[in-house]
Amino acid sequence: MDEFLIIAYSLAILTYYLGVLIYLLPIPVWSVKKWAPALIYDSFAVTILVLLFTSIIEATSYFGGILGVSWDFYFNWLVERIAVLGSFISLLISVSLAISQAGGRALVTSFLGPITSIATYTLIVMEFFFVLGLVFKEYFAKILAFGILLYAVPFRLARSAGASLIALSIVFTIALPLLPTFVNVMSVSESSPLTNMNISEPLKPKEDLGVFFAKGIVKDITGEPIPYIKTEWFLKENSIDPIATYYTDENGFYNAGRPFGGLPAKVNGFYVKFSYLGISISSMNVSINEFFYNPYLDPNADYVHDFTLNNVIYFGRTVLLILQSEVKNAEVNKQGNTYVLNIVLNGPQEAIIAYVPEVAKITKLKVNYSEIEFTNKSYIWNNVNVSTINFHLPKGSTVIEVSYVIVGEENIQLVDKGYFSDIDNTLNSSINVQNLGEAIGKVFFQWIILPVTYLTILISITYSFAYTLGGRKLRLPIRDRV
Amino acid sequence: MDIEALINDLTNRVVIAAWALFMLSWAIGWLLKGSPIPIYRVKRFGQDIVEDAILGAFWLAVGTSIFALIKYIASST
Repeated sequence: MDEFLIIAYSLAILTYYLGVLIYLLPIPVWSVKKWAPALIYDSFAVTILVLLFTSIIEATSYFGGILGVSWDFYFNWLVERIAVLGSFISLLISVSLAISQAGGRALVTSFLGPITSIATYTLIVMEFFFVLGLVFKEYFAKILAFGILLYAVPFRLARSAGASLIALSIVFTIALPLLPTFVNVMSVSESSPLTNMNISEPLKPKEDLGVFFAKGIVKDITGEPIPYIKTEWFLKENSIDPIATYYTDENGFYNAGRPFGGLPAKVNGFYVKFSYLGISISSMNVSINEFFYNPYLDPNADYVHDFTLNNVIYFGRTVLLILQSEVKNAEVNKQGNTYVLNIVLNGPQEAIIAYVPEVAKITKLKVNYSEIEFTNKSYIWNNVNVSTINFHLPKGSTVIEVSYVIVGEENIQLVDKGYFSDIDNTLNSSINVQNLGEAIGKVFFQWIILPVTYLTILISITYSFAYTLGGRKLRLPIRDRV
Repeated sequence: MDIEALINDLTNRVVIAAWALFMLSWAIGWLLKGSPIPIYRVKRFGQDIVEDAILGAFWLAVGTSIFALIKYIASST
C-alpha cells in the first residue's frame, strides 16, 4: 500500500477521534462543537476513499478503455509533431542565417523571425503536453494518493486542495490521451500541415564557411581595367566546380557584393581562373589576406582586391590582345584609331586578339611595322558573337599596331553566378511566403489553440469535479440550540 | 520518528484524552443536572453535556471497533 495512503488512513483515524473528543468537550461553545460531527463524517469519507483507492484506479482505467484511451497513441502523436517542428525550426534558423548573411536581413526580421518564434512556441506547447502526459501516465496513482492524503488532513485544512488533486488525476488520466482525437475532430484541414511543406536543405556547407563581400578591378599590364572578364573562383586548384563566377562590368569591376555575391570567409585563399569571351587567359592563387577592408568603395562590398593580368593588353571597345607568356613592361600609345604597343617578349609565340564584331572591327594589324594579313575566326559564346585573330610574334622587342573602327554600341549581358545565387532560388521555389504563412497559421491553430482549449475544458471539468468532491459546505447535523 | 508513528501516537493520546473527557463530562453533566439550583438553563445544559457524553462514548466505542475490524481485515488479507 502506498505510504501516502497509510498516512491518510492514520489521519482519518486521528480526525475521527478528534471529532469524538470535541463531542465530549463540556464547553457550551457551539462553533467548536459543530466540528464534532463534521470531523467524524470527514473521517468516514477519507476511510472510504482510502479503501476504494484501488477501485478508483481500476474504474478510471475501465472508463478510459471504454473511451478508447491510449497513451501510446497520445505520445506518438506528440513525438511526431515535436520531431517535425524541431527539424522545421532548425531549418528556419539555418535559412534565416544564410539569408541574413546574404544581406536579406529585412526578410528575416519581418517574416522568418516571427514564424520561427511561433514555431518555437508551438514546440514548447507540444513539449508541455508531452511532459503533462508523462506526469499523469507515470504518477496518476501517486497524485491520487497524495490528493487523498491532503483530503485527510483534519479540520479540512487541505480538503479543497486534496479534492482538486483527486479530480485532476482522474480527469486528466481519462481525458488527456483523447487530445489527438479532439484536435482531429476540430481541425478541418489535413492532419499535419508542416509535412506538406517542402523546404530544400539550404546551403549547408556555406554556413560553415562564412561569407564576405568583395569587389575589385581586373586590369591589364598597363593598368587599364578590362570589362567582360570571367572570373571563376575555386576553393582549391584542382577543384572542378567553381564556388562562384563573376564577370567584370564595363568599368572592369568584378562584383562579389551583396546580396547574392559573396565569397567564403573561412578559407585560406582561392584559385581564380580568368577568361575572356571563352578564351582562357590565366589563373592565379589569391590569399584571403590580400583582400583589404574598405567599406567605402561600395556599400554592398566590404573588401577590395584588384587583379592584374600580365599577359593581356586591352585596347578598349572589347578588343583584347592575349599573349601566351607574361610580359614585364608594355607601353601603349594611341594615334587616332591606331594603338601602338611596345613590348619585350621572352620568346616567339602565338598571340590572339579577341573582340566582338558588333562593337569594333579590326582594320589593320602590324607587327614590327609590317602589315599582317589576317583572317577572322568567329564563334558564339554566351549569345555573344566573338571574333578572334591569331598571329605570330617574334622574340625580343616588338612593336604591335592595332587599328579598329567602332561599329556599334557595347551591349553585352553577362550573368554572374554568385556564391549565394542559389538562395535566390531557395527563396523563390521553396520558401513561398504565402504557403509558409498558411502552414504556420494552421500549425498555430491545431497545435496551440486546440490543445490549449482542450486543456481549459479539462481544467474546468476538474474544477467542477473537485467542487463536487470537497467544495460543498457540509450541512452539519447539529440540533438547533436556543 | 516518521510521520505515521507521530500520527498514531497523537491518535492514542487523543483517545485517552477522549475517555478522560467522557468521565469529566459525565461527572460535570450529572453535577449540573442534579445540583440544587433552580435555574432551568443550567440544568438543561447539564443534561446536554450528559447526552453529548453518551453520544461521544458511543462513537468512541463504534469507531474503535470499526477501525479494529478494518485493521483485522486488512492484516488478514
